[in-house]
Amino acid sequence: MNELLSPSAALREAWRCLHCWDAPCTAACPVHVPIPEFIARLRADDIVGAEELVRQANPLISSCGDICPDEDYCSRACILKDVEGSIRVRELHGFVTESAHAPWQRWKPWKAERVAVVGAGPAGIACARELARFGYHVFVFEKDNAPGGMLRYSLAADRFPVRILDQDLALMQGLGITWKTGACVDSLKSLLDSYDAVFYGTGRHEDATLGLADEESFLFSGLSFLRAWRTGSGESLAGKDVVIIGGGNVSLDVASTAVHAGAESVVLIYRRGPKEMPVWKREREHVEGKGVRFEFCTRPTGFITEGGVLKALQCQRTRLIDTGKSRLTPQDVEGYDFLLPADLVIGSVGMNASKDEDVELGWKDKAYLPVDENMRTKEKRLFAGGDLVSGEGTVVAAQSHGIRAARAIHALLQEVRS
Amino acid sequence: MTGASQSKRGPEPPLDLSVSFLGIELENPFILSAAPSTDELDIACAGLDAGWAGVILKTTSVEGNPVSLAYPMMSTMDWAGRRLVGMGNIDLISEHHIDVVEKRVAILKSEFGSKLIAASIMGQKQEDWQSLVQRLKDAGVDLIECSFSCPQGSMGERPGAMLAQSAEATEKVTGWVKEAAGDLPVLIKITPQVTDVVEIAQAVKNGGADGLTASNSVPALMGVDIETFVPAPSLDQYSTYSGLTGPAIKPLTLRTVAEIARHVDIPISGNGGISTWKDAVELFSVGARNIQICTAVMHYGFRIVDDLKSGLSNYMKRRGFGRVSDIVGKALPHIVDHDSLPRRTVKSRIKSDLCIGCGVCYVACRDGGHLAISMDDRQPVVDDDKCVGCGLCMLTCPVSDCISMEVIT
Ligand SMILES: Cc1cc2nc3c(=O)[nH]c(=O)nc-3n(C[C@H](O)[C@H](O)[C@H](O)COP(=O)(O)OP(=O)(O)OC[C@H]3O[C@@H](n4cnc5c(N)ncnc54)[C@H](O)[C@@H]3O)c2cc1C
Ligand SMILES: Cc1cc2nc3c(=O)[nH]c(=O)nc-3n(C[C@H](O)[C@H](O)[C@H](O)COP(=O)(O)O)c2cc1C
Ligand code: SF4
Repeated sequence: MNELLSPSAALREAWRCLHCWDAPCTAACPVHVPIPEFIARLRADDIVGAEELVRQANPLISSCGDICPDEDYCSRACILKDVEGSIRVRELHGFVTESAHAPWQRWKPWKAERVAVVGAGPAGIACARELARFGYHVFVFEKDNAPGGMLRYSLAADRFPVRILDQDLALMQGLGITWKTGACVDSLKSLLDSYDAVFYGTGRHEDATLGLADEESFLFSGLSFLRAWRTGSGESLAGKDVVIIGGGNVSLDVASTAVHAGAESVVLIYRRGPKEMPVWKREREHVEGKGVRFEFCTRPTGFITEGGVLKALQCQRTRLIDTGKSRLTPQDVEGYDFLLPADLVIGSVGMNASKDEDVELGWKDKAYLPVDENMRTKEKRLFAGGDLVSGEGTVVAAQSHGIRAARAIHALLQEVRS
Repeated sequence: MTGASQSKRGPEPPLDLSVSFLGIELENPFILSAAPSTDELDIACAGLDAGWAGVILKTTSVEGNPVSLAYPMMSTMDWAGRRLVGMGNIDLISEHHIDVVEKRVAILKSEFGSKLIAASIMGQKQEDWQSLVQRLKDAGVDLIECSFSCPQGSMGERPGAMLAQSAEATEKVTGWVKEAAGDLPVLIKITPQVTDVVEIAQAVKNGGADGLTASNSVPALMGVDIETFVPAPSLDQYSTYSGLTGPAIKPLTLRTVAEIARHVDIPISGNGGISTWKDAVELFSVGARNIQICTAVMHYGFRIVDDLKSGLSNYMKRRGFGRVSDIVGKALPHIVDHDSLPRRTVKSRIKSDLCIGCGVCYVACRDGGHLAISMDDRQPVVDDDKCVGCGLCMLTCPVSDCISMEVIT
């Protein structure tokens, strides 16, 4: 968990806020947390009122207060960014949500319609909460044993304690949502038959493949590795040399978890250079000082084994060239190949969605589920959001999809009713 | 997550913040005072739309009364890197005369029937005051406020002086106004700039007004440019005194309202230096029944009313106050004359585990006259024999709760 601001530091930071009109930070936040407004309440010592403003906009309020990559959102948009440094919005958000948690009032759904939500990740949770606030009967179907999606089963355990997620879920207890866990949905069609509308937010849970020979035997999935350590079933890596193929945020969580698991050495290889790594500052800081070695401009070419046991990963050095694209392109450096000793190779180069629905949804390449601006799929009463439609995203972005879909479902059901 | 006991259908209604004042029902205690924010019809409408309970239209006068403004008219008192800790203005009353204002009152009343639509007036002769009242009454106004306290001086009696600086004039003019107003509620807006505000409040009551507004801006010189020696605001080579408003005057307002509430039985509308819900609660507690605001709105906009309501509701829920009126006067029993204060021995106590060793308390006590604190390797140590218990160290300490005053006897 990120360190919290002290009350006096929070107050000083809050007083730096200019309370901009039509604040760009609020516009940049995917769920549009009213930032200057909550900060104004914080500095007037109305923490309860500040929390309320954040909570209404952001269902996973404490989770985002801890791990939202605000550098891509609110803090990047801050007017003070190039003047004296952005307001540390995420930290103030985190301060507020750790200082006050008000549960939603206990109420019962008061509308007749029933809506099913498939997948209790951030997208599904936000959609469910918003629908419950409109008064619908909401049924959430979750394959896993508890709600939370990636937040519960993937984020590195030493970076994000699950208690924060549970705290967020506890606030929603009074809203009358029915949570069905351990309930894998295998037919959207039958859900559409029994519910007035369906939200589909199952995320992306299949590690992308690399196309190497014997990959099935020697490449371990990054997501399975993270999940094992999150759920307490991870095996010690003591004495083992671990190589991680990656470059993005998820691969950094894999690397820090491998260190945590006691690996002898952890090497992360990435085919481009350090500047090209698409990672958040805090993820980078999280692995810094943990002894992870980075091999940049490196791509894997094969597994070296002895008697069926993995010994090393064969690698090829690349160089970056400008081909006029937005990013530099890695190209092999002829004759520059080398071995990295490895007892375990973990792949973390992106995630795909499983797409085996019994409803024709017109999937696009790379497994992007197409939706319109209201998150509606080709099927009139089926809405979708989260990583499933956007590719690998963030908790706050997935929530914004869920909320948008809930509003569209509300509009649709009102239309049907009248 | 299922199976939680559920009791209600739908969301709970928000806390009732309404107050009753001079027989008028206000949806919440926050009113826009007579000032620029109420000087144009559409702007006043925006304020009411934003959730303010009422408006007092900026002070108007009879047709033909000259209002000659000078610009720029505003200046700021900055402190500790913050702007507008206090705000100065050399504004005058509205340039819109009664012919415009009476029409606006009628429009506002028809569009915002449930809100307080009030107007502020200033006159010179008896017939001015009385015709202003009569015309507003005909337009359907809910309440009339009389500005006896424009810092640029009220018209009449003594040029440059405010009406409310003379008890005699206050009583006389209040009588004229109330005579014309009849049943229509009248508030007199007074100035804190008097020798004895109780005497003035008594004059307001004797004159027959229904209540008073305490108070208004405080005459001030906002600052001097030390290169040109022209004070602020600078109009070429010249400047003049301003009316100081905003956070800087809150303690003056608290004292003014408390002093009136303790000695004169008259309903008070509180005004001057209120920016947050906490300021408002303080002002209620010394006797104000509602709050008028100007500067905080000019700085941060009408939207602050949401924060005022939120903070006030959360405070009332936490403290179990059902109505705003339950807070009114709560601090008054705790205010006594100096003679009646308990005489005790108190000593400074510094928590060494919280102390950050800055030495600010040491310097304050040393040069503030008591030499009771010494520094032992960056840790302040209090000498009880020298500590008189003034409390200065506690106030200057940057760490909250690090220094407290212990009662010895
Ligand atoms: C390692 C890692 C670190 C991350 N770090 C951050 C971070 O620091 N900050 C940040 O903002 N974001 C981070 N993210 C991204 C963020 O977690 C995701 O963008 C977000 O969780 C996507 O939400 P979602 O609801 O679309 O999908 P998910 O969170 O994947 O949830 C989908 C849910 O659907 C369930 N499901 C799947 N199929 C079915 C089915 N057939 N029936 C029923 N249920 C099903 C799944 O079990 C899962 O619970 C990280 C992601 C990973 C993998
Ligand atoms: C620019 C300006 C113009 C004002 N004009 C009037 C006025 O016409 N009549 C009046 O009664 N008060 C007038 N006031 C005083 C305000 O109504 C209010 O009493 C004062 O600003 C103190 O409240 P505050 O600290 O909330 O601003 C004016 C104040 C300002 C700043
Ligand atoms: S949710 Fe994220 S983007 Fe929005 S205010 Fe909080 S930290 Fe910023």
